[in-house]
Amino acid sequence: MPEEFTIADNLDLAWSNFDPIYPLPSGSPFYVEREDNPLNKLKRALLREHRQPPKYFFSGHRGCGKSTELNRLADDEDIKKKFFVVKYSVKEVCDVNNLDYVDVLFSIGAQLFLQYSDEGRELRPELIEALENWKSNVVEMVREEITSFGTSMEGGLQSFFLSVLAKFRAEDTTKKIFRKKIEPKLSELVDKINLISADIEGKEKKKVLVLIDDLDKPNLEQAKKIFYDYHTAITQPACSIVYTVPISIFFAQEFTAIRETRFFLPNVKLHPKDEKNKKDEKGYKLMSSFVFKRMKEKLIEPDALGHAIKMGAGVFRETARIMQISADNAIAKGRTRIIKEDVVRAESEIRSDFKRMLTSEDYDILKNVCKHNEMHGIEKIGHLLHNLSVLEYVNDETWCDIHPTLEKLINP
Amino acid sequence: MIEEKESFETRVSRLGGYLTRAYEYNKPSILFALYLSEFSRVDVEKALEKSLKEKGLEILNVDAGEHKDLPAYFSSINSSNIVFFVHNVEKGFPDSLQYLNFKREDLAEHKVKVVFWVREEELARISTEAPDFFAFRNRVVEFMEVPLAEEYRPTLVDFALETEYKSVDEIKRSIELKEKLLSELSGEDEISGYLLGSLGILYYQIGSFKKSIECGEKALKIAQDIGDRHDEGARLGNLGTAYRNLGQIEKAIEYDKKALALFQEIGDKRGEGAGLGNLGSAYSDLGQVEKAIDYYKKALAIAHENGDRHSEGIWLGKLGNAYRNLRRVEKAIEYCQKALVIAKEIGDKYNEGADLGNLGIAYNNLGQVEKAIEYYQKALAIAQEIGDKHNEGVWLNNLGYIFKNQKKYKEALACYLLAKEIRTRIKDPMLKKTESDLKNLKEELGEKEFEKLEAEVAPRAAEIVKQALEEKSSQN
Repeated sequence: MPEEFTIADNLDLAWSNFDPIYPLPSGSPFYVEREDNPLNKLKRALLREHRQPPKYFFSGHRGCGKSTELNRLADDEDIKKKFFVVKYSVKEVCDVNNLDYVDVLFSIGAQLFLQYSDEGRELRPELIEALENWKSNVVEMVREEITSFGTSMEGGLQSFFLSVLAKFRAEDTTKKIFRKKIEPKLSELVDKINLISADIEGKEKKKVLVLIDDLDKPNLEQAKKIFYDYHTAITQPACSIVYTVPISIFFAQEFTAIRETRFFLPNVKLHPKDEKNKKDEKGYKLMSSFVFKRMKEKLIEPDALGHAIKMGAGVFRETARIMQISADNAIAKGRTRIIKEDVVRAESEIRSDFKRMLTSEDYDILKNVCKHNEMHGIEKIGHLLHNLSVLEYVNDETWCDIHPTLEKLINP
Repeated sequence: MIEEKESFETRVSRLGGYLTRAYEYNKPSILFALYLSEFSRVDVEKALEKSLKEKGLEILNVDAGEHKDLPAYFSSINSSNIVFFVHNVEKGFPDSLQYLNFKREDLAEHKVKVVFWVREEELARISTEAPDFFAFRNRVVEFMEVPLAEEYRPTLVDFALETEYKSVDEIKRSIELKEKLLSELSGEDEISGYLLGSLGILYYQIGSFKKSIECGEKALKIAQDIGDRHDEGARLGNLGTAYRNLGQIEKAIEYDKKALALFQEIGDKRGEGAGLGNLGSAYSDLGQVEKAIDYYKKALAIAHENGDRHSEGIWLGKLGNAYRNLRRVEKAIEYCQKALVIAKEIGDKYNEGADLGNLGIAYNNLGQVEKAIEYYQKALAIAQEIGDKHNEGVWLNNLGYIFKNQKKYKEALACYLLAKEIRTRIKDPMLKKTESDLKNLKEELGEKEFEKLEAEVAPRAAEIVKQALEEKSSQN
């Protein structure tokens, strides 16, 4: 995507710069560096020496910048020095509606092979031969049930991996049979992943790092299966892996990944726990710089900016949306500068959006969260974390609060 | 929620502004236009189409029922000057929700410009069931005005009269919307009357009997003022029912009799049947069961004559309960079974649950406790499914009573505590019953023992009940 990153000096361009949809590509001037960025912790952890290649689990709220941070990590100089990085989104290679751990493992092997070949590199001939043999076995096993399988794969390993991934995305029956055949011989698949990875490491004199984005997108039931039931399987491959994990799973007790392997990208804290009327200056400063990297200061009045930040709840995408709506409101009124009224109007619109999603039981929970800022009973608030009406923040302890636009609804 | 009312033109040009700016800056734009009436939707669409065409944009209408994989469809024919208008959003559910949620990036990648034309309930489902996609929205623009011109009346009247909703939340949302409409209407007596009448029913459904009566009385006055006899009868009948639920039986009988006389006078058979049956219920509440049975039988005959299965089911069920009160339990079971068959046949979940529960009571009276539990369990499941809190409380409380008699104190307490919680939440007058049951249990166990048990049971009452019932059904 060709992008232009110009600081807006009019509201029209500001509107465009606050597009809430794109994650930023690495190196974008719109990026704001957070203090204590957990991604730096993850980076440091990756750069350390490990006896076994580590598996890390990465999570955060919808819209808090996960994809942006992963893009940055993949492009980081230190990381690239130590690692051959394979980054991909699981939704590009699998059907996220119907995903299981076999698909995930297969996609790792396929992406290792494909991305390495795309760089114009080649694996050892002996390994290619071993992979060809494995491929023929797999094709034969599947052909026992689908006779046409594999006819389009004459072009070697490349087309084999590509067409199996394509079938994962689109063909339900083939996918199911493939899984059924592969699952009992899972160790063979893991073994192939490890051989490819070891070969790359030997040739490049670098470790292999796999970054898988969007694994927080499958529905909760499927994600639970992958991360709870097959936790051991997905941590088998002998390369370093970073998995994205849905937020409600990340905080659940059933999620057994040890603490040191978990990284959470929290929202930007705007007030201390239990003290709603106190401002967290650092948080406000960070969010102001988020705004002013995209537009000039003269385009918004200071009290309007303060309100927009407050209502954006320290979540980047939410702040972008509220700024975009406010900019539009100002344009509609023929103004060249956003005033507080524009933001208040945006706030009430976003509140209406929430109102449509909440049930009466949710209101009781929200009242409680608003009062005590405690996160107990993840099973009760999991869906609220998901729809952003409950947000959580980290300082010394993890705590949470309701989305600030909802306060008027809860305590009218 | 928007403090200052914005004009129709302002909101149309807001949609236009997003789309043309998105075109100019080569950005995607995901917009929702929320509307109440099809008539206003058509107006918005026409105005928007005109302004987009002036800017060189083209509109492509999409039927969500035909293209469930909307992201794939958009990507296949998108070009920078196309704006998609998506209609019939509901017809694509639930598949379209999945596609939108998981392939949301396709819309960003292809810079898709799209307006989803949605009603409240459609948008509610998108925001809860496709949350990742909804997080990508640029904006929701509301067109919730009531169209008051003459040609819009039928739609409005339909909406005003609608009282069939699936859940308590839907009912509450509808109440909110109708109250809002009511405050906007003036000099629209007929529609105000309909709105008040349906508010009376909706408040009744969520157990706010006082509010129900308030609205019902106002609606009655309007019906009398404009001389709508049929509506007058219906309001009288609803008021009778509401008063009965408040325990003001004499007053209920007075209204029911008026309603019955009126329906007989205008020759409305359906109304007459309802009036007779309601009188039956009132007399039953007064303890005059024989008289109640007489009325129910008359009502049943009329329903049968008119082929009105729904009413037939209701009066059969009532007859069952009346015979049970007379201790003629075998006969009671016979009637309840017939009622149950009809409820199932016409898909009337509410009465299916009630009939099942009543069968539970009858078997309990016969001392067939296991069978009673089985029926309560089924009734409870339905009440939970359809969000019928009142009956959920009833069946839980009854289960508690059985468990207590079986000396399964843990299970009994769990049932009572859940019933208490529900009844407190919906301000059910039956709360008193639960409280006295709890008091009895405390006396039976002794204070210390009771408190110990309560500390154990309270945090996981729902789980205990679930387990107890699962054990039961696995034994069966």
